[in-house]
Parts: sequence; C-alpha cells; structure tokens
Amino acid sequence: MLQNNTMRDKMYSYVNIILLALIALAMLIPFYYMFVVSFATYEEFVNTKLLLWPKTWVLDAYQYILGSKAFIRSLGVTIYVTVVGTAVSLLLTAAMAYAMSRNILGQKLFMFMVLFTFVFSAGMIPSYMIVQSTGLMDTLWAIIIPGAISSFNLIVMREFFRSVPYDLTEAAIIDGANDIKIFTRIILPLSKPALAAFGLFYAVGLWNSYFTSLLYLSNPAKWTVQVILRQMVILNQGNLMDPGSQAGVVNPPPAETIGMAAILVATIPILIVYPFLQKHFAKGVMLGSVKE
Amino acid sequence: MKKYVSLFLAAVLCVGVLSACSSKEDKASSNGDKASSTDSGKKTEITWFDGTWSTPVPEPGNEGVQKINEKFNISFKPQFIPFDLYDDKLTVKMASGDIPDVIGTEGADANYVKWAKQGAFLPLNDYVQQYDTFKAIPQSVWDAVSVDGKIYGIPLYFPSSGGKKPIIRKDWLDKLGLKMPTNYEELKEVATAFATKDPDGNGKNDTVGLGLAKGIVYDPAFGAFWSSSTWYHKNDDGMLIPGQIGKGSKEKITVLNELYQAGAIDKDWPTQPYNEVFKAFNAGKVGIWYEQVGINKGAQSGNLDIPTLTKNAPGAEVAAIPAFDAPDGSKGYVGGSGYYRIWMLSSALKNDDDKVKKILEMMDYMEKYVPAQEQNSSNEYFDWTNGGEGKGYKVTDGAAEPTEEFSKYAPLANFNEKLGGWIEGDKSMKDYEIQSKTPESKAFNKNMVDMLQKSDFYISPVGRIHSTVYDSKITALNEFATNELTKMIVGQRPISDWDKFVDEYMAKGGKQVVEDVNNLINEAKIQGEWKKAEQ
Repeated sequence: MLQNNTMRDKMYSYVNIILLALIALAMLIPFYYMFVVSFATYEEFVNTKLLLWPKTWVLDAYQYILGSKAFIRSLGVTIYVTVVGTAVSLLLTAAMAYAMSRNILGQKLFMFMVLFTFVFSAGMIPSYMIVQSTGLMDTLWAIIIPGAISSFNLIVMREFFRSVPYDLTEAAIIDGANDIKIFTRIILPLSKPALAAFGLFYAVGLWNSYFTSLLYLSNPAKWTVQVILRQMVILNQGNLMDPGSQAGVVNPPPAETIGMAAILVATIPILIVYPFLQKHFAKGVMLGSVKE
Repeated sequence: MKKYVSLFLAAVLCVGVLSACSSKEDKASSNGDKASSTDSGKKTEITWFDGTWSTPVPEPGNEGVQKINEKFNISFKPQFIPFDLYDDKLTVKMASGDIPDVIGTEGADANYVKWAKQGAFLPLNDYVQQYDTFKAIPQSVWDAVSVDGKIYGIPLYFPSSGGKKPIIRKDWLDKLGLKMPTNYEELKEVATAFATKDPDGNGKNDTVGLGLAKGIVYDPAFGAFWSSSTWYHKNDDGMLIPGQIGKGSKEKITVLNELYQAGAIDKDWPTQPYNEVFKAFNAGKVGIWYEQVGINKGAQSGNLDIPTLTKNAPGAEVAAIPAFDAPDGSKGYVGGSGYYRIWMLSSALKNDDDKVKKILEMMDYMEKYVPAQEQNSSNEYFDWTNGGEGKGYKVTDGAAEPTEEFSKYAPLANFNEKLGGWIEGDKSMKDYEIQSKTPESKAFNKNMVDMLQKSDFYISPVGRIHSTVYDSKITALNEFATNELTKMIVGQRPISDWDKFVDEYMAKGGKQVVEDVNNLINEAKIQGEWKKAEQ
C-alpha cells in the first residue's frame, strides 16, 4: 500500500516536472529565438528555415539600436515613468486602501464608487477630455495620474489591511500613535508582500504603457519605449503604399534583427526586477484570498 | 523594521522631490514656448496634425520648423503620429472637439466622408484654382477627395503606376530556355518548369514556381482584366461588378488551381504570410513574385532585397513582367488612385481668409518637384526644403540621400517624405534608377520603370465616388471572396461551383453594394478609364 503510494507519487512528480518543463520551454523558446536572430546576419536568417545557432555573430542590430537617440531617450522616459508612477500609485493606493479598511463614515458609499469604476469605465474620449481640461496634456503626468489607482488593486489591498489584527492598531493607539503613525509604522511595514506585489503590477503596467503615451503626448521626445519599439518593429516592415520606400534612415540593418534586438533591450530591464521581488510576489498574489 | 519604514519614507520623499523638479521643468518649458510665441508678436499660429511613416518622428520646435517659421512668418505647430496608430488618436481628437487647423489622413476613407458631411472641414473649391500645383491635379483625383461636389482636402501626389507589380527570375528563364510569359498558358508552362526543372541547379527539388501568400495578398493578375481588386467587368444587366466575381477572376483561379495541382505553388501557401514569401524570394527559391521601384531594396522585411538575393543566388536577374493581352483587347495593369494622403483644413477657419491662403501657399510651396539630377546644394529650393547639405541630406555618387537627422533639419519632413509634383506626373519614377546605389538595384529600377512606362493603366471609377454601402460591407465581402477563392485554388471547392459562389457573394450584401456603386457612378457620369502609355 505504502509502496504503491510512493510509486504513484513518483509518477505524479515525473509527469508534473515534464509538463511544467514543457510549459517553461514554450515560454523560453521565443526568447531564445529572439536572442539568436538578433545576432544573426540577414543572409543567414533568410537562408535557414528555423535558425537555432548562427554561424556568424554580428552586433549590427545592437549597434543600430543603442546608437538611436530616440530609442535611448525613450528608455529613459520609460524608466522615469515607471519609477515615479509606481511610487505614486503605491502611495495613493495604500493610503486609500488603509482609510477604507477602517470603519469610517460613508464607507459603503466610497466602496460603491470604487466598485462602479471597476465595472464601468468612461472610455477613451471622455478620458481624453478630462486629461485635456486638467492641463495634464503633453506632460508625463498624463501617463501616471489617470491610472494611478487601480480599483482591483485597491480592493485587494484593503482586504490585506483588514487581515492585520486590529489588536495591533489598538495597542498603538494606547501608546499614543495617531492614524498617520499607525499607517506608516505598523500597517505598511507589515504589508511589504502586498506592496511588492502591487508595486510589480503597477511597474509592469507602466513599463508596457504605450497607447496613453501616444494619446496624451504630442512631443515625440516624451514617448515611452513601447511606442518607439512598435515603430521599429512594425513600421520597418515596409509601407505597402510607398511607391519606393525611402525611409529617412541610411542603410539600417534588416528589420527582423533590429526588431528582435529592440524587443530584448526593452524587455530586459523589467525582467531584471522580477527575481528581486519573486519571494514577495509568490506570497503577494495570495493576498486576501484567505480570511480568518 | 524601523529601517524599512524610514527607507520607504525616504523613497517617497525622493519621489516627491523628483516629481516637483520635473513638473517645474515642464512648466518652464511650456512657459518658454509661450514666451517665444509672444516674442513672435502677431505671427499666425498654425496647428498641424498628421501621420507619418518616417522614423524618427519630427519633433516640434526643431530646426526644420524654425526655418518654416522664418520663411512664412508664422508660428508653426506640427504634431505627428505613426500612421499605423494615427486613426485612433485622430478619432479621439475629432470627437473631443480639439480640431487643429490642418488635419491629415491617408485617404478619403469612411471617416473622412463622415466628418466632411458633419461640416468639420472647410470646402476649398474657391481656393484651389489659384495655385499652380493644385491646378495640375486631375479630375479623377479631385473626385476622390470631394464629397457632394465640395473639395474638402488637398491630395498629395503619388504615382498611379506605383505599387507592387509581378517580377520574374530572368536568369531562370534563360537557363531553362524559356521566354517571358505573355499569357496564362505560357505562365503555367514557365511556373511549372521553375518548380520541377531545378532552375537553381542545386540538384534539389526546392524551388517554387509562382509565389502566393496567405489571403492572396498580392494578386497574380497580369492585367486589369484579371484583377481582383478593381471593378472592370460588367454583369448581364450592364452593371459594373467587383473584380473577384468577374470572368477574369474565374480564368485566373482556374489557372492557379492547375498550378497548385502541378506543384508549382507552395503547398503551404494559404498559411504563409507575404513576408515569408519575400524571405524565400530573397533566398533565391521563388520564381515569380511582386515588387515595386525603390532606392534601397533591402533592409526591410516584406521587400525584395537584391544584395541578399545576389549573395544567395549569384547571377540572379530580376525582371518585371509586362501585362498580358486580354481577350477584350486591353493590355495593362490597374492604376492606383493617383494620390496618397490628404490635407484638410478645419471649418473653424471659414472666416479667416488670410490664414487659409497662408496655409495653402505653404502646401503649394512644399509640393514642388526637383529632378534627381538637380537634387544638390546648387538648387536653392531643394537645399532649403531638405535642410541643407551635410545636415538634412548628403550627396554620394551624384545622388542626394537623407541623413539620419533629416527629420530634425528638413522643413520638408513636416509635410511629405518626398518631393513630388502633380505637374510632372510619373516622370519622377525615373529618379529611382539614378538614386539607387548598387548596379543590381539600378538595373532593377530601370527595368521596372521601362515596363511601367510602356504599360496602359486602368483607372477604376469606384475610387472616385463615396458609397456608404460599399464602405460598410466591402471588408466582409472581400474576406468571404478571398476565403472561397482560396478553397477553389487548393481544390476544396470545385471551380464548377463558380456561379453558386457569385450568387452567395451577391446574397451577402454584394447586390446592394453593386447597385449603390453603379447608381453613384451613373449620377457622377463617370466610367472606367484607360490611361494610355506615354509614347
């Protein structure tokens, strides 16, 4: 009986490992392919059906991208927007979530308002008009502020704050702490997993933001890296209408290798963040799922 | 624990300080803008909103813009969005009432007609005859940008003979002792030989006779008679019908089905995107495919790359295939609408005659043509529009070529990527030969332009009218027809089903489209026209 069980367990583990490995591989292969193609010559790319290991490695695509002022500048803009935007979002979300986790007057009304935006969104044109009338147009704040608080994150974070025993808060009140002190000294330090998880959600969202950037910013100097990336990958594929393509660029390397290299360069910075937040993250996504 | 709290607070503080700084910067720069515009005194401010294909996108306030400001004594405020995302932003801008003085689009699409009917644009009929460039615009193009007889936009020149045309591996023809095909029977013979007689001589059966891509992206029509995209044939009631359901299309699909059976077309073609076929052509594995003239062939996927092709297949020679003789005596390809991109003026300018004239004067000035031989610093106009030699362009081997900083220095970058004019017509096509760098590219461009100049072009009347029924139904109809035709080529649906297919097409809304289009064409008293070859 015991023997059987372990056999079954073993079988289960093997199948499990094989399946997970296959899934992981399915995620990794596109990255590997991008990596390989970004270093390959166009002749080789054209001549091989599926390129697995280039015979000659060239850096042309990377030289082109890193030499492109627009790309480097947009990377800087994106880093700025991500860092500042994540901090703003976390601060606002945590503050509001904390306030709503306490039994305050009108709590139900506020909750309803939050839930309402969760289900119904105003749409593109009203949002555009609000950004326009608040004077955010053409500033990077137009990317950060309108989406600073996600109602989903707010609700989950509120549940997390509620799971912190009220006894702690009570003890702090007896020690003479006011609400701000309780929030910053007790609740936030206890909520690091939540902050890490939502920080990551916000950061990835901001890093990938491109339509807001295009919609609200008219100066190409302020565009985020995703806009420039899209241009490099899609526009380089050639304009079907053009009688004779005459892009402003002199002899760039082929679009395929540039595209692959650009995607890698734009993905790596945000990938680097993951390992550091991994341990919090695994815990973080479970937040609020169990209530005592 | 305390440490973390203070760290977090420190971080928040830092952010606060940073954001304060940046908002100051933003304010400072916007103040700067305002200051400079007040400095310029009573200068007219012209806001301009358009899409672009160029990278990098021209930025506001760069040197090109400053030159425009000086020359026309205005305060020019252009804004550009990559064309593939342009429609979304334009729709939002128009809906929110934030309408610039000048708005660009790629063509007279459904939105253009809708906004024109709603009165967003200024009718320009009274103005256009006052400018040399606009006077030369042919009536068929004015029709395309007019709604109810009112001209709402200034079209930009685009050669109607442009666009991708069939090309063939001439060296393969020579090697197998075959002649350039002049009809579909000969095409069948040539394409089958390309696929089966090992034209690249590597001993492997790895060549494709005729390239065909998913969705029949490039139409293997060797003349307007067989074209799927144009309206050429008439039905029994004398009404013009879409090419896909015409008798030319039936003949073409029959031949393609036979070629498919004979193995001259890649078996996987219904799932292969067109850029995969370009890749295979550049690898030297495809005999017949499509390309247009251009300077730097290569460096773009979805393009013929002659340097790569020559490396992969030494001795490769690419030639354009002239149109076949059609049973009705016609011989020529389908011509384009003759324009690409339109500039509209906001109807808010209707009481500002001076500003309208200023804008039109500027458009007129920026649309002049300079032949390739004169594109250098001794031509003052070219030098100014292109931002000056060594800055916006450089001259190598007698041909001007934009630099990477073109969009920064060249005033032209804010209007159009290319100089071109209505007055000179398609002569500008010859410039590609002069501007090409490699001898192979020069040879290809010369061959292609020679073929185009000897060819007649069919101008469809459908591009000159605006049918809302057509706009709302044609996408679904095209998709339906492409699917059914694909099935017929691969033999999933017998070609004997043709009449049934046409009936289905008509039942799915084709009938209403055909009726509406024909009514509008009759009302406008226009018909399909042949533009004869120049000599």
